[in-house]
Amino acid sequence: MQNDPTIPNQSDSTRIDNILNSLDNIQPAEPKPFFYTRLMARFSNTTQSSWENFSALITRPSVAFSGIFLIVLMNFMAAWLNFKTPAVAEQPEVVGTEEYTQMATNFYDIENIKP
Amino acid sequence: MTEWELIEQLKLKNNGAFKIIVDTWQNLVYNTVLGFVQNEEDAEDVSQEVFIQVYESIKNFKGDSKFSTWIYRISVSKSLDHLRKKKRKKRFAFIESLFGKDDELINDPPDFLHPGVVLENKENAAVLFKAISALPKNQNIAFILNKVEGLTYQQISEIMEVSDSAVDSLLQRAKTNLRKNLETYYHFNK
Repeated sequence: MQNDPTIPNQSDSTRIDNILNSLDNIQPAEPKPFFYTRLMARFSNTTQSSWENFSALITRPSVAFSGIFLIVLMNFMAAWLNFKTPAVAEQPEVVGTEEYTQMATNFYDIENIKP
Repeated sequence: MTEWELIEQLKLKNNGAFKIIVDTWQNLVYNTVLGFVQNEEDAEDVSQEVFIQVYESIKNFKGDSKFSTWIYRISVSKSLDHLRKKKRKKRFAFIESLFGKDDELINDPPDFLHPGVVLENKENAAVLFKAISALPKNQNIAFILNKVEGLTYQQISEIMEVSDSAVDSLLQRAKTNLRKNLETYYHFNK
């Protein structure tokens, strides 16, 4: 009878068990000494000015793309609203004479009563 | 000073309180991060990021969970972020190399030898760590917290915000997947 190659033999199985159990009794690792000193050094390097924070924020892809999308959307909406609003009926350019005289009264009308 | 007093002092940006917190939790953070990133230098960098995050977001800590649980969560998420960034960088370097850029390809790291593993198990542990990093995310988290950090199911369930039975299921599936991957590995390396 031939062995099925997909089924691991006894030695493989033992080896796999050994691998799976290799983390038993593992001791916790510790950072190198003076971790706090190095952390403080990093802290002072990472302190950024407000401008750096602002530029970091706006150059984030999510913020930048959202901003561009918002601007395009606002433009599109403005164009669409303009298109939808009915054109205002044009005022007749010729104003009635009577209306004109009422509107444009000047001192000649007052002083030159008689022509 | 009690833990809660330390937290209150840290909220007031007291550096002395921060030093005590770092000294108390640095081993826990470093060991957890090392289990995920599998590189001692990266683990140091990520551990520093964890403490910077702790300092900056302590004001958001309301005490709904234990402080240790909160620190574990930050450690896990920072480690996973680091792995994602590393993977992205590797992919980007590969694409750049296709376009003839001079940047060197980022090679696969050598086998990781955990400093806390006894000498006779180091080789096996290196194979196991490689297989662990190929597990699906949640199985990976549960397995590392259980096997490397030695946490109980309840502690893991609090960190991952799932039920104890879900943790049990994740660990069972992780073990099954690891066995399957190792069998395949030995089958193809014969």
